Parts: sequence; structure tokens; C-alpha cells
Amino acid sequence: MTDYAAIIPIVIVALSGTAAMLAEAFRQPGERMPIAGLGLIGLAGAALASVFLWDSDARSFGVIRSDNFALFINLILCVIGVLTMLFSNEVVEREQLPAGEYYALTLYGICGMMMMAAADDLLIIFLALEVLSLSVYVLTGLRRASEASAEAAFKYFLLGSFSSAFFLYGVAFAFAISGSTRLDQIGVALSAQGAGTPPTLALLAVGLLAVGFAFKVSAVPFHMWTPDAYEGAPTIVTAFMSTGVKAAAFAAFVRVFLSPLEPLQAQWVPILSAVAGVTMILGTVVGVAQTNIKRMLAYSSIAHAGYLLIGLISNSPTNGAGKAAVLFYLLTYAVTNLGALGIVALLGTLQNQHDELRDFAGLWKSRPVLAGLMTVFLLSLGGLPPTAGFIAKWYIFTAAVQEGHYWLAIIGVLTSVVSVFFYLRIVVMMYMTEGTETPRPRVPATAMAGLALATAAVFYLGVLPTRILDLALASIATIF
Amino acid sequence: MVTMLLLIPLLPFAGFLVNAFVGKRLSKSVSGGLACAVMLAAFGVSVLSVWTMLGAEPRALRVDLGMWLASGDLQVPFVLRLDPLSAVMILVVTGIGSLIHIYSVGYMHEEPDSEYARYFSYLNLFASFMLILVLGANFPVMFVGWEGVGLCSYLLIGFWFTKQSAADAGKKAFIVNRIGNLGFILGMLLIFVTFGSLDFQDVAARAAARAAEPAAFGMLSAEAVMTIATLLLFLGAAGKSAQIPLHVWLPDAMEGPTPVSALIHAATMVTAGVYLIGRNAVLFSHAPFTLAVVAAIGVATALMAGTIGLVQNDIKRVLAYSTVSQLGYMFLAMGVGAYAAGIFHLYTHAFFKALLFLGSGAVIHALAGEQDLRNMGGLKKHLPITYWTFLIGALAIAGVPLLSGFFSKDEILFRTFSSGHTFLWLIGVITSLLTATYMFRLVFLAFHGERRHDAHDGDHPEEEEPVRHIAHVMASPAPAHGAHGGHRHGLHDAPPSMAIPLIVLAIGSIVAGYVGVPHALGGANHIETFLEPSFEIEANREREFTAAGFSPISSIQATAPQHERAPTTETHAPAADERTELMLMGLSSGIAVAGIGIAAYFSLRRRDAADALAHRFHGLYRLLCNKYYVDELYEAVIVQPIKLLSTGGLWKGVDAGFIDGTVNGVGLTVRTGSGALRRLQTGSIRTYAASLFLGVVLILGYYLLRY
Repeated sequence: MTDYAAIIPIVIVALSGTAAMLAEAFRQPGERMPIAGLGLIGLAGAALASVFLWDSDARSFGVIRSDNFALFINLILCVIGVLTMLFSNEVVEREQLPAGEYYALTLYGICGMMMMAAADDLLIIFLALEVLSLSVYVLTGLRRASEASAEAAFKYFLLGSFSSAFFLYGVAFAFAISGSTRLDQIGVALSAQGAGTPPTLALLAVGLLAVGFAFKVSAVPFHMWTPDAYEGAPTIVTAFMSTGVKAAAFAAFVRVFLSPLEPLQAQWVPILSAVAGVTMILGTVVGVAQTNIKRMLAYSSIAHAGYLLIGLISNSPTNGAGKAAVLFYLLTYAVTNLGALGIVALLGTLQNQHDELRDFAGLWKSRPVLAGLMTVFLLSLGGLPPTAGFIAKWYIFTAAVQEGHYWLAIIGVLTSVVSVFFYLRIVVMMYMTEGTETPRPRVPATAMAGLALATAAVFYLGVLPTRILDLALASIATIF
Repeated sequence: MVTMLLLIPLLPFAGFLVNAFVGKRLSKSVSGGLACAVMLAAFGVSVLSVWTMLGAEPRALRVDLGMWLASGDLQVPFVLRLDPLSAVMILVVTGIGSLIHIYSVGYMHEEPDSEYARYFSYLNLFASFMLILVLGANFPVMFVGWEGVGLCSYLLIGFWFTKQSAADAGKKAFIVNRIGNLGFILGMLLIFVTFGSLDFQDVAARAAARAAEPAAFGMLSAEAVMTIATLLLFLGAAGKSAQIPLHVWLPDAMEGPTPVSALIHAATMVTAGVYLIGRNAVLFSHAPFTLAVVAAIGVATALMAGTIGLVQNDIKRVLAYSTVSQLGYMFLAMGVGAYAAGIFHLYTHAFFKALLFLGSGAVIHALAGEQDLRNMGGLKKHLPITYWTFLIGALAIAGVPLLSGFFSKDEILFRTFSSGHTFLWLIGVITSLLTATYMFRLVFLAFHGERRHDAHDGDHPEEEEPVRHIAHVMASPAPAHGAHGGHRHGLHDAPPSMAIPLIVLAIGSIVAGYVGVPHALGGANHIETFLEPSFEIEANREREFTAAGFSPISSIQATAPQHERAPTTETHAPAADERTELMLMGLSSGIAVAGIGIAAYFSLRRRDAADALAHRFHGLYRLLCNKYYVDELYEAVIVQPIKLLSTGGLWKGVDAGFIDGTVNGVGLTVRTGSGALRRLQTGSIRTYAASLFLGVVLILGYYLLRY
């Protein structure tokens, strides 16, 4: 008897996505419908279901596994979804995005992400990857009138397909050595090899799977699509995909590399270390030279992928809380980056995206609260105490030091010190530059609630991180 | 009861919240009054806490707010701890901080309401972080304050951001401090991996217990680890406290409002580096090499800044170089192991340097923004309160006997001499001659002689231009200010809100030194005995570690004397020592007087002689005027290459060549009609795919060749 429990959160979100699509179909032209509300209901349901499923380790069809790890990621994704929905209402209307498509695709994208975190089989991971990618490709190009948007979507799509091919190739090699695509079977086959040099097929599988994941998390040298896609997409979509895709992709990355591929750790650590180092350096250095905020945050997102990779590399069964560092970092990054990009999105209009550095000049004068919140998010991205970003980086770097990856820790500290420079450029713009009195749109109460939520999370995680860290620890313990 | 410690940083933080969020709607008297009130309240609570601490045995209060960062074997609780060292610091921060807040009420009065509230919100936030910095019981908590004060200082330097120089100065301060922070973080990580703790007391005890270990971390012996870690921490300290080679930001930081210069860039934040070393005195004592570096850098900075101070013409810049120079003295003290003497000087310096800055602020205020000494003169009769208080500050810093600076500076010089660092002592003495000279050059040029301000009015329009600009920035209703400070009524001395802090600080500058009257003068040097426990391992911890037998060799080490401390020599040959000390004191008194005499000769009697001298030693004069060309050197060696690298090298080469070109080119190509497909042909997506493919080749190639 197949147990359906494990897929309940995914199904709930999928249903709300379908409802959003239907609502759009029945909408009279010009009629206003609170479609975001449907999404909120679905996400709240999924979050509730995830809470109830905690510790149950439910499985469905043998390939979907709702262990605590998947559920923790589910909760992060629900936070991302809820914040996105709260920011969307006004923005979608103002930018004249097609509402039905937007909400349905966002919710289906979240389904794919949840599935990716819960998949226990390489093929299902691939399927989930495609589900979320297709949604995101279309969302990127949703501003049909915009040339930049169309081009970004197209580039993202082409490169995404290219990388998917590598990933699939890796799945094939994995199947070749173990005769299965199930993660547990692959793990059994690999540990049966014992010590000594692993077979070439296994190494090829590791390398190609790493490429597939590295593309999705935008690690160097697979990052090229990121700045274009982030800049070209509608800002609200950038906010959603920069956090959601990263969380889902890292979830699968961590699950595959720490569970079945754990026996090959000695082989993949050097590769990923090199990637992490280059990623941090390039993301930071190039970020310094940017003048467009979305592009700057794209490079920042690349750099953060590097820090997250350190967390993955520095994982070891004995290393207490260091294990949970990746999950904690994902949550931190989600609320922080969504907050920052959310503010950019909320200030944009159809005519003016409000995403150039100079657009932020004098924001403190005209919108003191938004400027204050933006400062909090930027400081958190830069890792300054007492925000969540500081704690997250702290855990990652101490884990790296404890595991002996001193160079990565040093590069990490160095680049995060430099990165504060470009985050603070925005702060300087807001507080220390006279702005031209550009009319800025009103920010609705729902969006303010979302920002308040994100700010509260940034400070909560920064000041009292232990509870969440314990949860993260409990959840990663189920896979590793 | 001890939870009142929490209130100390929380009170100014509450002030910050109110002024930051509703400050715009408050009137000036409310937002300024509130900011002062929370500081005074924090001062009150500080006094109470210190009083409570004095009654406790051992003398320390701890407030544990529970676990903050827990990761495996690393447990970092959020703990505030008050001990003698932090007691001195919180009294300075809240006490002098309150006075500077009160002074600001008058000084910033011309600002518009919203700017006024912004100013006080930053100032309160700064105080809050500074208090966390000094009360934190472990490195991460201290780091919260460390980063926070840096941020506030940055915002306050750039407060008048419409002035390009102010914005630049803010940026410079920020970047230089980043380099220092890097040292702080790396030092902290190294300490953690070696000693497994970040609590100051734990680290001290473990450092002492394991000092003799041959392999504490990898191949490094414990001593090597401690040397590296303390050098890294010192890099952080040098950044914050403007020591060579990171001293370049502090003089530029004078672009901020003058009360900010007094509070942050003289009395409190810049001393955080000295405090950091004092806090980790045990660790530094086990790293003799680092101590030597600290002493050498300190004395070199003192000398260098002192010489530059001789030729500067901006009143605040003279004071800024003086601050750098005095901080050098404090590091000298730290470096020769005279921690108490260094902190003593930190404490007296806070009084007289805050006084001097506030006095210079009163001058600038009266002259509607004028900062150039060449345009002052004869202010003595117009600004009597400012003059007399300023004079007291100058006498104190010059080291004239019986004022506070005399006791503390002398203590440092004596300790340097008695610990056998004769050469360092000699430079210290030369520097104190320079101190007296540049300080009194300033006093004579500004307050004595004839007024030169009006004479220049018509003659040098190019010199007046920046002045008017500053005046405009300072006071938006410029005409009102002009009339106020201007020509009809003559010059106005400081209004009460500015005069009272000046008077209180002047009294402080006289009497503050009497807590540390040396034995040679029949005193008891209370401050040294008071501070001593902070520089040693906590009594119960020492037992804990030796009893647990951390390692057999180390238990001997831990009980052995930490280093050649001066007090031990004192007990050996008190009489001879006191004789030396008295002799040295006589010498430095003479030097102070000589310095004042030199200044009087060149600035009052024979100004032409000064010019002739400058002319004769033209090269040297230019060298000093240009601050030894350090800024230019950094610009050429560091700034330009980095700029090239990030805009022309890495960025252009790796990414921008295809990436940033595309975004700007996008519109063009798409508009030509063939949509995104056409873009494909032009190469960018091919380069993207090539990069991806290159990555694949590298990874798989590595595997295939390696295995």
C-alpha cells in the first residue's frame, strides 16, 4: 500500500496553483481578484502539513521521502512563497504582468522545489529540476513587452538545457555503476567498492552531477546566466528565483553529495573547494564594479553560493552544529535577499524599474522606513552583527576551520569583508546622497507586513539563533 | 541586581530607536534632550554598576543572556562582564559621552529638524555599540560592538555628505577599517581553533596553561600561534586606533561634525584598539615578539604624527595628528607590558582631548566655520571661556606638572625606561617635546596675537570660498548664522550648552590624573592596583586549569610570573627606582616647558623665523606638509592597481567582456528585428556555453588524469 502522506505538502501547493490558474480563467477583464490569497492559503496549508509530518519520515512511491531534511526545506520554501505572495499583489498589477500565469507558475515552481528537496531518486530529482526550471524560465520572460526580459529568459533556457544534459549524463553513469537511480542503492553500491581508487564511471558521475547542481546554484564557472537572468527578469521574479531555486538546488545538492556520494567525499571535496574559492572571489570582485542593483545582487548571490558550498564541504558526521550551517544559511539568505529585492521590486514602476544605484539616492528622505529596512537587509547580506547574516557566516566559517579548510575560511572572510563595500554603497546612496525627487509608488500594507516579517526574521536569527539551529541540526541528521 | 548592566547599552539604544523612527516629527529640544537624557541615565547606571562591582569579590559582574552561538564544541553565550578595565571604559564612554551629547545640542542647533534627529540617533547608536564593545565578555560579543562603532563612525564622518571631501573621508575610514577587521576575524578564528574557546577569561587561562606546548596547532608551537594570533589582533587594533600603516583615515575623519571628532575620533572609539590589547593582556604577554612590534609601531606612530602636527594649519587636523600621536603612546605602554599605564593614559587623554576638540569646535562655531589657523589669532579676549578651558587642555596634554596628562604620560615613559627600552624611551621623550610645541603653536596662533580673520576677507577670495561653503552646510539659514557669529556684535563665546561641558572637562583634565599619582611623589597609584586584576588570569580559573592538570609542564608555567612587570622591580629597589622616576619626571617637566617656549618663540615673537626655517629646510617642510606622502604611496601602490584589476582586469577579462556588453547591447540587437535568436549569433551565449563547457572539461579532466 503506497503511502501518500509524503506528497501532501506538494499536492496542496499544486492545488493552489491550479486554483490560481482557474481563477484567472474565470476572471472578467478588469475584475480584481485576490489571487495571491489563494497562494497564501496553499502555502500555509503546506507549511502546516510539513509541521505535522515532522519526524514521521513518510515515503511515497518509494521515491519521495518527507524526512525532516525535506520538511525543513519545505518550510524555507513556504517562507519564500509567502513573502513573494505578500510582495506580489501590487507589483504584478503595476508592472502589468499577467496575474494568472504569474501566480500559477510561481506556485508550480514551488512544487518543483519541494519535490526536489524530497526526491530520493536521481530521476525524480531531474524531473523536479525541470518542473521548477520551466516555471522559472517562463517567469523570467514574463514581461513580454521588455526585450531584456525576453532575452534573459531565452539565454537562461538554453544554458539551463545544456546543463541539464550534463546532469542527465551524470545520472546515467550513476545508474551504470549501481544498476539503479535510487539514492540509497547508489550509496550501497559505492560503499561496497571499499577503499582504494573508485571506478572511473563513479568519478564521471560525481563530476557531471556536480556540474548540474553547480549550474543551478550559480557557482563559477557555471554562473554566466545569473546576472543576465536576474537583471532581465521582473524584479519580483528575481527575488523569488534567487532564493527559491538556490534553496531547492542546494537541498538536492546536499542530499546527493552527503548521502549516496559520501563515500567519495575525498574525491569531490577538492573539486568543490576549488569551485567554492573561485566562486567567492569572482562574485565579490565583479560585484564591486556593478552599478545596477539587481546585477549587483546577482553577483552577491554568486558569492553566497560559494559560502554555501563551504558549508557543504565542511560537513562531517562529527562536526556538531557545523552540519546544520548550510540549512541555517539557506534560511538566512532567503529572508534577507527576498527582503532586499522585495524593496527594489516594491519601488519599481512600469516605466522605471528603480534598480540602478542612483535610483536609491535620497531614499532616506522620502521613505525613511524602507531605507531603514533596506539597510538591515544589506547589512545582513554583508554579514554584520547582530543580523542573521553574521551568524550564518559565523557557522559556516567556524565549521570550515574545524574541518581544517583554512584556506576556504580565509578566502571567505576576505571576500565577505570586501563584499560589505558594495552593500554599503547602496546604504551610502540612500543616506548620504541628495536624491532627485522621483515620485515613488505607495507601498501597500500587505507588502509592509511581509517586510516586517522578513526584518523580524533577520533579527531573530541574528540574536537568538539556537532554536532554529537545533531544528536544522535535527533535520540534516536524517540524511547524514 | 547585576542585570542593570544590560541597561547600560540598552538605554542609548532606546534613544536611537526613538530618534531614528519618530525623530523627524520631534522638535529639536525633544530629540536632543532625549539623546542626552539616555546618556546621562546610562552614566548613572554605570556609576551604580561600578559601585556594586567594587563591593564584589572578585571584582567582576557578569550577566549571562544565554546561548548565542553554539556550534559543536564552540559555545558562545551572550555575556556582558564588568571588571575594573571595562569599568574605566564605561565611565569614560558614558561620562564624557554625556558631556559631548550636551555640547552637541548647542553645536548642531543650526541643522534642520530631521538632520538634527538623524545626528542624535547615530550618536546614541554609537554609544550603544561602544558599550557593547567594552562590556562583551568574549570575542564575538565584542565584535558586535566593534563592527557597530565602525559603521556609526562611517555614517557620522559622512554626515555632511553634500561635501565631497566628507563623503570621501567616510569611505576611506570604512575601507581602512575593513583591513583591520580582517585581522580581528582571522585572529579570532585562530584563537578559537587553538584554545577551543572565545571567552576572554578562558583564553587567558588556557593560553597561560599551554604556553609551553611545542605543537598547539599543527606544527606551530603555542608561542608561535599566540604570536600570529596577537599580530592579527593588533592589525585590527591598528585599524581602529589609526596606527601605522593604517593611520591614514583618522585625519580625514575630521570632516565629520566636531563633537563627533571629540567623542568617536578622540575619546572613545579610536581607543578600542588599546582596549583590545588590554583585554587580552595575558595572551599578548605570551607573545614577546608581538609586544615588541606593538611598542615599535606605537612609538613610531607617536613620532611621525607629532612631526606632522607641527606644520598643519587646520585646527582640527592638528588635534587629529595629536590624537594619533597620543594613541601611539598608549600602544607603546601596551608594548612594554605596562598595560595599566596605557589604560591610565587612555583615560586622562579622553578628558583633555575631548576638551581640546570641543574647544576647537567652539572656535569654529564662533568663526562660522573657519578652521584655518592662519585666519585666526587674538581670540583670547573674544572667547574667554573657550580660551581658558582650551589652555588647560593644552597644558594637560603637553605634560605640564600636576595636570592629568603629566601623570599618565610620565608613567608610560617611566615604565618604558625601567623595562630597559632606552631607545623607545628616548623617542617618547622627543615626541613629548613635539607635543608641547605643536599644541602651543596652535594655542598661540589661534588665541594670541592679532586677529587675522577679517584682514583676509577681501584679499584672498579663494581661501574664503570653502569657508562659506562649510558655513552654508553647517547652517542652512546662513544669514542668521552670519549675523550671529559675525561682524556687528563681535564674536560670541560658547553658549551655555557648549560652555558647561567645556568647564566640566577642564576640571576633569586637571584632576583626573590624581587617581594615579606615582609612589615617587608619595601617591599610591590607585588606578594601577585597581586595574591590575584585569590583566591577569582570574584567580579561580587559574586554579581550575592547573588543578585539572591541563598539561604537567604548563601548570608550572601558569603560576610563574607573566613577564617582567615593573611592580616587581619596584619592590626590589624602591629607593633607586623612585630616584630615577623623579629624575625622569623633572626631565619631562623641563621638556614640556621647553616645548611651550619653542612654540612661543616661533609663533608669537618671531613668526618670520618660522617661515625662514620652513624655507631653509624646504624639503623636510614639504615632506611634513604632505604627511610623508603616505596617501600618495597607497594611492599608487594599492588603490590604482585594485581599480585596474576590478574595472579593467578581472571584471573586463572574465565577465564584463561578454556579460556587461550584452545588457547594454541587448536593446539594439533585439530591435533590429530578429529577436533573441539573432543575439545567439553574435557570440555572447556561445561564450556562456563555452565557459560552462570549460568547467565540465576541467572537472572531468581532473578526475581522469588524477585517478
